[in-house]
Amino acid sequence: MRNSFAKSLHMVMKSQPEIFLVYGDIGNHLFDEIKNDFPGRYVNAGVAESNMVTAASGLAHAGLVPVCYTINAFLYLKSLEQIKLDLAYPNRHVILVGTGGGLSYGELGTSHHSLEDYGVLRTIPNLRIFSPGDSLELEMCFKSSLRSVGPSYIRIGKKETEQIANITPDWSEDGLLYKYIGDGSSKLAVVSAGTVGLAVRESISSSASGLAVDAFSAPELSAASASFFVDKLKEYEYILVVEEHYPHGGLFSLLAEAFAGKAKRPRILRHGPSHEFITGRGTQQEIRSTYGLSPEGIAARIREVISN
Amino acid sequence: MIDPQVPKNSSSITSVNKVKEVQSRAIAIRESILKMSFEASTPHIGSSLSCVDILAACYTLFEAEYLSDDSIFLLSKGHGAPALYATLREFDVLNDNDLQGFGKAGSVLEEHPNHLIPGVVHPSGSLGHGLGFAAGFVLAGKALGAKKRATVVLSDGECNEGTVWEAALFAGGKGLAGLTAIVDRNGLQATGSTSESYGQIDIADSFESFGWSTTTIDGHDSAQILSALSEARLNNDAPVCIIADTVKGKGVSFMENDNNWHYRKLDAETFEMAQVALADSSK
Repeated sequence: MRNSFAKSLHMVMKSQPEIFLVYGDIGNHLFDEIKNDFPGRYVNAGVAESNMVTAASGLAHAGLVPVCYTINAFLYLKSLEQIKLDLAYPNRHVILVGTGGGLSYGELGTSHHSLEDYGVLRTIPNLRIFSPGDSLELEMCFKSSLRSVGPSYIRIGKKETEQIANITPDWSEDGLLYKYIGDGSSKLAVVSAGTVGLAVRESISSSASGLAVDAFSAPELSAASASFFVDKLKEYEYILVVEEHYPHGGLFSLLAEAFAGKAKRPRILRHGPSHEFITGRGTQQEIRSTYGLSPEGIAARIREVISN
Repeated sequence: MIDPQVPKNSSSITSVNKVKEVQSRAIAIRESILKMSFEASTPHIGSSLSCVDILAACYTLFEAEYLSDDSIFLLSKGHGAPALYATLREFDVLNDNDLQGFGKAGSVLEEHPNHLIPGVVHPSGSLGHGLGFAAGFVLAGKALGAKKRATVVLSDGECNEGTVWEAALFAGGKGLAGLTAIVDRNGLQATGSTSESYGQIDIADSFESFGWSTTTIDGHDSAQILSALSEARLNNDAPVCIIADTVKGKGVSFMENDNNWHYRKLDAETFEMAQVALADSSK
């Protein structure tokens, strides 16, 4: 997904001269085209993520639209106070893009895992949070963040993958949450955020017995999403949230919060990593398998939910 | 009043007038700080008093510039907010009515500055953010084709923060001329001396090793401050750090170098004593 991001960024930099790339000493050759075509519109902030975010705030105050890019895990944890005080509080138009979200860097170890970002960042006012599942969703999220007044955070994957959906959603209507499988008649909605959506789609479409479920992708997890999600999901009996995030604070929590206190509440269930640090379990695919986040594992869980 | 020294690089009459202006404004600012702090019952008086002459000089020289889009002033040592508000009042960015609201419910004038206050470009209060923000602002100038300037006042205690040094590395490494940092070096921080906290650190050497130009001055000598600020302007190659040696609580004899006045608040008795002491030191 980082290549798609570099392409999208290059495209918007052509038409919007105020966009300025700030990267934290990462992206080997990723931005060669940008550097070549837009000299003077980028800076290497070095391995100093806190300063990168604060400096971006200053760049934004001067009239530029900074796009900050580094490895996801370092982006929001080292710079959390800067995100709160330098971006969100004064509502500066800065876009934070973290590559390798979730378990994309599985084999690099815990320091590179980002399984708490949604939870940590959803508590910060004024911050929009995006987690695109494929390059199409990424383009939508990125453009949306460029239209915003204040700051955005975008968790992206690492490698390029297929599209989750065979359709192009109507982003004006479906921007926050869109259905890509099913006709709305199922009792169960499977909802995912981020790149794990591809495994969800594969689990449903490749299942031999056929799983009669509706599947949604949720590329935005901002606070403002809540009422929108309630509106789209309230008729289901069950919602199964599939996420590459700890149990607390992610999409599962967002939906639970959104429906809490409502008279009509689907039963909301979760499928994802346990609340523990992960050591020595291999690549993203291998770790996902241990938590049932492979297509087979997700299919099994869906069947379990349906049969109850 | 102390006879002003004649600074270099300026005509003597203009400079003498400027020095007198800074000195007289500094007195007014100190009076204001004491009044605000008493009426709102707020701490950080010692820290506010130590940077007054610096702020008075900055605004005397650059008040018009700070109203433009191309130059900003930041009080990164945000706990010195009373000094900033009093300075903004002295230069008519805030009025007396605004200051009345200081520290009270319903007023944006909180005990640390925020961006909603006229004349304040960025919130501060958590130490270590101002320098990086200013660096980003100055860096933008190159991409925008417009010279951007920033003046940031930090405290020496604030230099404990790693983010100050990240910003210093960044600014020095990128050659951010137009960025002027002023370190209010009063030798004290919240719970004791700066040397107790982090040992004897040479701030000038540290900044210089990161590619900055530095100068060390008496932070209460208006002529020296004005001269240092003017000279910083002339540097087109590197950011400049002015290390200003100051006294915490300057202007009120019984507060000077007494670190209790980091946290201590004024009551009716000490307020009166402070006003008398300030009048004495202003002669």
